[in-house]
Amino acid sequence: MPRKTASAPATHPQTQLDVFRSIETNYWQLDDGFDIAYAACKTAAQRKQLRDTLSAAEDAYWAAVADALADNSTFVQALRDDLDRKNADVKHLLENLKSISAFLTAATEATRLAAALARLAAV
Amino acid sequence: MHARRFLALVAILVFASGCASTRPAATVLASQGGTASRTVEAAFAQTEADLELAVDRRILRAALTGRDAPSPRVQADIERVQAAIQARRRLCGDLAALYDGFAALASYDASAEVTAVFADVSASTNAFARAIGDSAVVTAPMGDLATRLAAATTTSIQNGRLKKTSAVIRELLVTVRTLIEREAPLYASVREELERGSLNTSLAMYRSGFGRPHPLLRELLDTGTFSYDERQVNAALEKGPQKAAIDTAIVQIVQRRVARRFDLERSLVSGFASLLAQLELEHRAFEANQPLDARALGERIAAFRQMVDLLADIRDERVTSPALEP
Repeated sequence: MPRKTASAPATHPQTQLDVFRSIETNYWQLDDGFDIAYAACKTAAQRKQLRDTLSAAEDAYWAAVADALADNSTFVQALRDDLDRKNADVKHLLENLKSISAFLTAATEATRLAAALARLAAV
Repeated sequence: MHARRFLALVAILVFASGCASTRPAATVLASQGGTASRTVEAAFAQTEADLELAVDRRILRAALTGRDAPSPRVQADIERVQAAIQARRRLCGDLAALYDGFAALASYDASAEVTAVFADVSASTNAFARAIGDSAVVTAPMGDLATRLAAATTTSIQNGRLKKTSAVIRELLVTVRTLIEREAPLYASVREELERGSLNTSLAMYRSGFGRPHPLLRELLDTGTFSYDERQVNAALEKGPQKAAIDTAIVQIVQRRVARRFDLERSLVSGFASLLAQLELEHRAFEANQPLDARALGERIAAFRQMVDLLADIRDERVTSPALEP
């Protein structure tokens, strides 16, 4: 059975990046403006509403990042497995190169060729 | 006949000299590829370490500013992000390990080994020729030629494997680069968010009396002309007539510096993909027997490494900074 090789993930549509940017901007604007808005709140209910809104924005931000990165987690794992296999292949290539049988094959071929050249020279 | 033998010998020598440049080029490529992979790995490791502190900073900032502490959901999502960054850090480590294998394959002198083995296996080329059933008498110059042919054949085998391995690594580089390019806006955003978290927590602590901006003020004072007196500065910060104006100025300066760090972070993230793209070009050149532009790649790696080190230095300074000490 052929090995499954990791292939590149499909590119996210630009809209997904735009959605992420909106979530990011919303969270950072609320966070940057929190202290001033909090000082301006007149009631405990207003302060709670402000805190809840910021918490929701923060939740949305980290969920968006985590979900987007998690989308590729299977791909990353497959890629790592692929790298492991390739690494083992390279080690095997080196071991194989070091093996005496490989040398002897090369040496035998070379000797045959040298002998053939010797015969040609003798003609 | 002599002319034919001469031509055969020349062909072998040309073949052997052509192959001779492959291993050194592969060694350079392997070294630069390993360095590039480990540098990107280090950048991911830094993000992973910073995420470790992110929740703690949020908890403290919440206590100081009236915000809610991070919800269990946020904490779980930060852990998911950390696990994802860790996987990418390990991916780069795996890539570096692959380059180690490539370096081992390149540094191994198969040609020298086969020459030695050839001599060991057969005391003379004739004996070996007889052993393999060839009755032709091989003269001493032909024996030498056989040894050189054996070495050239092995070199050819090794070079073929180096190029095959290079092509495999290059294909993987394309896949890793595609992933990194696609996720770059997320990495940049997380890095900026971590910097913001660090800055805002530090400022909240400063405003709550947890620290003094001595390193910053000392840096701004011409200490060749004026001596810096911490007690005098503390008095000015606590009850001086310009206390509020100084606070505002300090916040502005810190924010300006952080904005410059954001730029550096964004350059760093976009540098991941361009570094891997440059490596791909070098692999293509290597596989096509073209000279490597090792200097261009080296300069790019050095510039990238400088950014990583600079950001690490800034973080180290922040960690050891007495400004946050009570």
